[in-house]
Amino acid sequence: MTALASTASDVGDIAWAARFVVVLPALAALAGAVVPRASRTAISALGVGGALAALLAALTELAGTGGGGVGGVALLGPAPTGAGTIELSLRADRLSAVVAVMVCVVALAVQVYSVAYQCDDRRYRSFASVVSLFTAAMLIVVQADDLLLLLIGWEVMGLCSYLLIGHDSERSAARHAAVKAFLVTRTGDIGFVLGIVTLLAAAGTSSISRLLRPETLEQLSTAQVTAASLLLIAGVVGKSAQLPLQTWLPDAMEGPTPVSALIHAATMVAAGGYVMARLLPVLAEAPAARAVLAVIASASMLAAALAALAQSDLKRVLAWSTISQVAYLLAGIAVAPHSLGAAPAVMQLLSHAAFKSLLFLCAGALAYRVHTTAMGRVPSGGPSLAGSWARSPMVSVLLTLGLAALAGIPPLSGFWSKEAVLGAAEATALDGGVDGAGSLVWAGWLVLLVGLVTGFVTAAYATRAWLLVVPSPADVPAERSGGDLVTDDSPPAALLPSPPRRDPLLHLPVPPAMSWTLLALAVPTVLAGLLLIGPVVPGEIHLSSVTGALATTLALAGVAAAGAAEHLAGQRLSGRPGVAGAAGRPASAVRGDPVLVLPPRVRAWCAGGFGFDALHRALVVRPTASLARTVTVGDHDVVDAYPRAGAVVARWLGAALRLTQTGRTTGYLGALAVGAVVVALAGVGLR
Amino acid sequence: MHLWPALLLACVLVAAGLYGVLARRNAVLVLIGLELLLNAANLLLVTFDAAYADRLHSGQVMTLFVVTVAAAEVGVALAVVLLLFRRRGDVDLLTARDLGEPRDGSTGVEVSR
Repeated sequence: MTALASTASDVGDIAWAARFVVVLPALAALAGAVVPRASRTAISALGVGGALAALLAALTELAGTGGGGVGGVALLGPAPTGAGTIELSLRADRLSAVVAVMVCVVALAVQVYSVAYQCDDRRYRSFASVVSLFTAAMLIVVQADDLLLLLIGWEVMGLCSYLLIGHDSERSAARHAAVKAFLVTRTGDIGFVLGIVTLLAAAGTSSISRLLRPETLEQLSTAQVTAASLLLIAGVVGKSAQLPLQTWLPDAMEGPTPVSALIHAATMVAAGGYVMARLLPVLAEAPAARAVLAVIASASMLAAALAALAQSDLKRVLAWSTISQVAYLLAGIAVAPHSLGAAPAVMQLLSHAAFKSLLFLCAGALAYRVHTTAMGRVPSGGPSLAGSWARSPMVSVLLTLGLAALAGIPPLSGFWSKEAVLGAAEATALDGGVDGAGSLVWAGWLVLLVGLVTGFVTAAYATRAWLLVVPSPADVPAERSGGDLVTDDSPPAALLPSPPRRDPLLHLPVPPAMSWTLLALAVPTVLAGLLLIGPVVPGEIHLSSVTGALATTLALAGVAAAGAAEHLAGQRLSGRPGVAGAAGRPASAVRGDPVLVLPPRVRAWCAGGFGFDALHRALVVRPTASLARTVTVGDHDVVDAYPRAGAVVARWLGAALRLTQTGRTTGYLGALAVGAVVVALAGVGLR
Repeated sequence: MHLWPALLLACVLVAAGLYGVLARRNAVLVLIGLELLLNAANLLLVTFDAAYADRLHSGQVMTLFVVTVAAAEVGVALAVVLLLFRRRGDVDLLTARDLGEPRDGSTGVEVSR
């Protein structure tokens, strides 16, 4: 096989590093299945050790791929088939090394974190080993130099997501969410498999290195490339939870919080964007497919941000924000000019992984004692995250950092990556004709405008989440903690059952395994922007001061709008009897949920995910269910009728035969004698 | 040597045996009828063995087999008859019909349950 560009001595080291990156977590997963279930230390040591070893291997790979990369690293050896040989090889280059490091960092963080977080989990062994397997599958996708190997990793991830989302299988909501995630992503995977088959048939090779060579791409017709790209995009839409297949992701919050961090930051959702970045040269030949991707990503970006604005649960806010942020990533791929390549998207992938894993793990740390992720005031008076500052200031600060990065506040990582995507969109919009992407000018404008608007909404929902979670309602008596925040048009506070008394357990410190993980993840969240401007990311980043200033202004406007909305909502609430007057506080002390300024119908529509669940039910679930019923009826009344008829005939024959069983021995003997005569005559006659 | 006396004797034995099997109600007499049938067959085997001067004497060998099997069969059959007598007090085959299908049309499966 060919080495892309590298000195001969390095190639071997990089190849071994790439092999170790894939194999070590897989081995940890395998070993995790045989350790004694009782020894939690051994189980967590295996999980953490596997991720740590893979991280070291990935760092070696990253250090070695400075001058280029190497393709065709043999992993399982070639698999001969009837129609040709499939190499099943790996690839080590800048892109795979950077993403592998990111995956290993998040996996390590999740493993360390869940040592403390899952301490009460009776099935911790299967949890740790499935997380290792999930990591291994993602790393196969990242390192694969073969479309079929990539598909294997892709499908194993689907399985692992099913197992982990349904980890708390005692709860029916978790089981349903797991099945939903599996079925919805599988729907997209149909397109993904067909897309890979199309590429295989058209290019005649399953090797990604050979497929991406210009001379191979020139052989493909536009129709072939467009069809393959559109089919691959279908799979990516499923895995990365873009419109219209996004419904599984908010429901997947039923899984344990570390799993959400893993799925959202490093593995499943990011895999779709990574595959698009890897196959960008193929996509570049199909402007129609890129336009479709740009439209899907723009719609997902804005819709998911609006949905996040109306959620009442912190984890669901984060889930919708993932859809929105991954849409930025895919939009960056859709409109990236040839000169920039996948760099803006990869940058968004990395910074999103950093701040989203931090956010999820912070949410888990805050919910660790409260046992809920509801924000603000829960209508039934149940527990909520409100007032986290008083309980755990450090986690609150880190959550604030993560939300600020999500909102794109300048020095943090989210700002730089979002700027990279918007800069790429601007480059395509302003001078897209220069490098042959002229037909994408409108897509560039679309992504740029929607991206700016979404930045505003993102800042607004991040601020709202912060207002509903972090501030300590200091001006309230202790037993009314959290009572000031009203999330909906609930009855006045005086009529509500009084919130539970402060539980001393709530004020225990966060376990060190969790707090140190959070601190470690805060570093890339803050500094990723500085690291990524270096030569780490393949390709170039195009930053524009106009777009940057505009985006920052809009983000700050979003923060201000959320604050103003909170004040406005508070004023509206204080106008009601029994809310502020009863406690004798000034009206300005009453704070309301900022989203209350929106009309209730819009709010409900956004919170419910724009009715996509109902649409899926009408378009897919009901026809499938009725088809299944038809098949059942056909099976029961047509196919099964023949065996049943056999049974009926046998019963009739048995009833006829029973008539001869008289119990009269003489009769039997007579029949025997007659039979003997008949046989004798037949023997004589036939002779 | 003429065959006909032996064949005639065999015919008489078969006739008597069949009469005993089909017409008698006493189980022991039915068994005796069966023995007559078997011995008619034995007589024919020996007769034709002699008539055809079979070098291997397969007719005689066969007869020995039949005698042996008949002895075993009689042992089992007399044991059954003895048990029948102990249970019922008689050995009348017309009344001993417990193993037949019930006359009333029920399946009989329920009875055994």
